[in-house]
Parts: sequence; C-alpha cells; structure tokens
Amino acid sequence: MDLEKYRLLFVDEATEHLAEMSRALVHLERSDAHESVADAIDTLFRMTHSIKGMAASLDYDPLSTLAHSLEDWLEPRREDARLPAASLPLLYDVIRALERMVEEVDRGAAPPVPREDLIARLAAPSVDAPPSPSVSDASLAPPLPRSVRIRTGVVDRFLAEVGELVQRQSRLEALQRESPLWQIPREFTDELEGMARVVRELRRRVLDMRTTPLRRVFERLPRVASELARELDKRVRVELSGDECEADRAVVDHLADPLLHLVRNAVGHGLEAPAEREAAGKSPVGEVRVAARTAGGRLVVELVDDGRGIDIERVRRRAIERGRLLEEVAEDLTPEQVCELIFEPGISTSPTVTALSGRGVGLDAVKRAIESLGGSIRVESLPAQGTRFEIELSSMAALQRVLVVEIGGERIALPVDPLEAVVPVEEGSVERAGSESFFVWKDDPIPMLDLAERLGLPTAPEPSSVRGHVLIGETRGFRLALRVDRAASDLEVFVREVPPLLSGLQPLGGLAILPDGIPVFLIELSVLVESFL
Amino acid sequence: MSKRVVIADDAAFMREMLREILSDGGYEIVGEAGEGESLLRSFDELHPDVVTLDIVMPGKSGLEVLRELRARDPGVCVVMCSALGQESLVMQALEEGAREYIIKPFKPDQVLGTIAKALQKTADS
Repeated sequence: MDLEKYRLLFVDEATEHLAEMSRALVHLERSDAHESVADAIDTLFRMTHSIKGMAASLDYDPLSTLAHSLEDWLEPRREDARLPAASLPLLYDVIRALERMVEEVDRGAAPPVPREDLIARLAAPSVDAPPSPSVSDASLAPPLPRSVRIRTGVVDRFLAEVGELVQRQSRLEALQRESPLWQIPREFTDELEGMARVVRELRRRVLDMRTTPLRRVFERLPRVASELARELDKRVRVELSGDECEADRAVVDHLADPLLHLVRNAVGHGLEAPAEREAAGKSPVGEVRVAARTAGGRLVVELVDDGRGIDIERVRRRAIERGRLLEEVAEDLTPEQVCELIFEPGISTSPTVTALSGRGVGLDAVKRAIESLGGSIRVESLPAQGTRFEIELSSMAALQRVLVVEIGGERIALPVDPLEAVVPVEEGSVERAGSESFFVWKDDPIPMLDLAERLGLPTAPEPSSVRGHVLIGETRGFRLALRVDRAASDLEVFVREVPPLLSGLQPLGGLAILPDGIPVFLIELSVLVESFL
Repeated sequence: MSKRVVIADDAAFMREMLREILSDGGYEIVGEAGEGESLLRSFDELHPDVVTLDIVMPGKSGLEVLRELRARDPGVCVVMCSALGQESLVMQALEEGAREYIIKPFKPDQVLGTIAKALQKTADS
C-alpha cells in the first residue's frame, strides 16, 4: 500500500471535513430552527465518523481516539436533533485540536496526543447546561472560509494534466485537418470546436489558479532592508507598490532571491550613511522603492534607490582588470554601456562588502536567475541620485513559446524569446578560423556552435558542409549562431521542470511537452553562450 | 471473467483504499459513488455483481440505499462498510438483506474474504 498517497488523501479530505464542521458550528450558532439544527449535527457526525475511519486506517491513534470520543458525544444529540449552545465552545476546542493534528500529519509528523481534558470533557455526563448568553458572542465564530487550501503539488499535477489535454486537443485538430473532408462527419467537426472552446476556457482558469500575488515576496523586503541598514548604521524606508500583481507561482518563487539580493545591494552599496546624505542635501533616511506592474502578459518589477549611484569609473576599471574590457575600448563606452557591465561575472562582487550585501554572489547571478525565467534585467544609474533596476519577464513561466529543432535525429526545443532569425546554411556562409566557425549573417561573422556537437549527438561527417539551418540569437549581450539539422516548428507549449535526477545536467532548462505528447528537452540559449564567455 | 464492483462511500480516501484492495484481488471496479443518489442512478446501467455500501453517508443513509436497491433487485449482493461504533446499524442492514459487512479500518485479506463470501451467498440463494 502506498502510504504517502493515503496520507495526502487523508490530509486533503480531513481538512475539508474540518472546514465543513466549522461551518456547521457557525450555522448552529445562528439558527435554532429544528431542521437546520438536525442538518448541522448530522454533518458534524458524518464528518467526525469519516475522519475517525480514515485516521484508524492509517494508525493515527490520537486522531481516531479524539474523533471517536466526539462521535460518541454527538450520537445521542443527533438522535434528539438538539444541541445546547453551552456546548459550542467545547466543539470549537475539539475541532481546533483535530485541525492541529491534521496539520502535523500534513507536515509528515505523527499527530500529537490530544489534550486529556478534551476527552474528559467529551466523556463528561453532561455539559448540556441551560444556554448561557455568552455563547452568542460573535468572537467565538470563526469566519466562514472563502477559500480552501490546496497543496501546490495538486495544482501542478492538475496544470500538467490540463496541459496534456490542450496538447491532445491540438493533436485531434491536426488529425482532423489531415483527414479527407468526406471522411469526417459534420457533427464531429462541430463537437471538436465545442470541445476546443471548453479546453481554452479550462486552460485560462487553471492558469488563474496557478498564479499568486507578488506580495508573498515583497512583504519580506522591508524587514531585510531595515535589518541590514541597522547593521551598517544606515537608515532606510522601503516603499512597496503593485504587490497585488499576480504572476505564475514559479515566477514569484524564483523572483524572491534576485529581489532580496537587489534590495541588500541597494542598502549596502547604494545608500549612503545618514551624515553623508545630509551633507549632500538629502534626507538622512534613504529610500528604496519596489514597484510591480503587469501589462500584456509581462510582469515588470522596478527597484529604485536614491543613493549615490553606480561608480562608473570603478566599474570601468574593474572590467579592464578582470579582462572583460580592452582598455582602448573602455574609453569609448558611454556611461550607460559601462553600467550594464555590472551584470558581468566578477564585476559587482566587491571584496569589502561581500559579507554584508553581496554574500559573494554578484549581479551576474541575479541576471542569470532572471534569464532562466525567460526575462531580462536592465540598470540605469545617475551619480548622487540613485540607481534603478528594471526586471521584465513573462508572468506565466509555465507556458512558453518554443522553436522545435531537429538535430542528430532528436528533437530539441529552444525558447523563442532570445532568437532573432532562422536562416538556411548556404554555400560560403560558414567561415572557419582555426578550431572556431563563424556564420556570416548580414556581413557580420557570428560565432557558430554546432548544437549536435555541444549536446553529444551524432554530427554530420563534414561539419562545415552546406546543410541545415542556423538560428541567430542574442543573450547576455552575446550573439550566437546555432547550427541545427532543421528548424521544425514554432509552438506554445507547457514547460515542466527537469526531473530532479537530470537537474544537474547543463544546459537543460526544462521539459517541453509537444502536441504529440512527447516530452523533449528545452535548451536555454543563455547557458549555451557560456562556453564562449 | 472478473466480478464487477461498485464502491459507494462519501470519503474518497476509503474509495481509493477499497479500489486498491479489490483491484489487487482481481475485481473490476466499474463505478464509484460519493453518495446514495448517484449510486441509485447508475446502478441499472452498471449492473455490478457486488456493491460495497458505506453506512454513514450524506443524503440517503446506507440503510435507505440498501432498501431501494433491494426493492429494485431482490437478489442484489450488497456488502455494508462501517467504522467501529455503528454495529447496531450493521446488524439492522444484515436483517434487511445485506449479504455481509466489513468494519473499517480495512484489512485487505478480510475485505477480499468477505466479498468472496458475500458473492458465494448470493450464488447459493
């Protein structure tokens, strides 16, 4: 027997039952009409009985014992269809105790032993004292639940199934398109269209279900900022807006670390000490503003501080030191271009403050995290006025537009976003320089990577021969040409996370489920580019 | 051919448990019902060999459902399911024509033994 499956089923069902029991109690408090009292007691009894049975099946003895006592208490009252108001506090206590036990089971722990006094009170001959006026106190009534708790795994499974439904639906449509018209009854076509409508609606709703407000991440930011400010003898006020914006739960979860990093960065590096601020004519309290907005399926998060701004000269020097920039080139770069260099590895990790704000992780990690979500990050800074980061990403990471390509007999998907063009390989369009190949596009030689070779798939005997397609893409400020056998199709698909066993393999970005139901690997261009950096 | 079973229980947990035990025991689960009404609606269409019937359910109780099933098909093979504490109802159900009963928590051997016994009784009657 799969105990884990039953444990989860138990938690789901018992949680629902307990919520229904709370509702029944509220009902009992508000109404004394004989029929509704009978119904409410009946509900309490059935739910208790059911919880007892389930708990006993899983050997959750403390739970089944308490439920059993409650059931025994309820049984005679169910027959009389009468429940004195004075007994409501006892019932609330028991339900709360049962809830706590179920929560423990949910956490994977054993349910705690119920309080002796609860069992004793249930076993006492009668608490059916005359109704006391205090019981009508509204504070006793828990608010009617407007929502139910669902485990995230359940939603994800559901989302995956709906994803599959969408795919099968497209497959059916494709079959219908491919079949000769006279073979398809009209009714079939009509029904298929009807089904397509329902599936679309279902998909929209399940995507709604999958979203969560940014508040979950935002609400941690002020505390983190003020803690760090205290350590550094700085003062900060964090202003949040747009935290009601909704995005895919995966997006929101993955935004947490980059945002925390940027906030720490703003407090640690951006904001000046109070005295320095006052000397510069600023308020001694630094300001960090985090604002989110959504538009057309995109989520934009802005993080602005009114600190000293990025030290352009320091970044320029550091980039040269780290070999990221040639000295001669450095002179010609605009301050904006230099600013963008802080996202390069090794530029933003300041050796003096790593312990405070950097934790040894630079802004390159932030950028990579955002890019792994299919998003982008930009920075603007003005000396003495402050710095502004802007993160832009799709608010729905689970659904991605991908290009499916064939290489070495395999299909691979690539996110469409960073791709600029797909061009056929022609005579003379590939140039070789030593071990490296370049693809000449619009008179520009672009470093070329053979995707089959990179992934260890069988390659053609003569790599520079005229064949296949080349995808031109740009990511992390680097332009790359990718040679594939064939660019097949451009699709919107559900992308699932790489199973844990494969998650260590670069450059797998996920599993894309194709319309024929076959999962193929999703490759992130940004990771491929790494081999050139 | 494997025997056809319909499971009626308001707890999905219990239905899943019975489904697992019975399918492992070679039975075919042809339907599940969360309350009596839906069992009664689909009974004729599903024509199961055995119905496992929970005694405490919302809407119609297990006993009421048993009576209606018997009125439609006096030879119906019903096995009552109940958690401890409802013994008197179980006894009453047996008097009213249920073939056998199972007490929760379910033990696979016991469940399979009881169902086989109930089917045997039905065949003999």
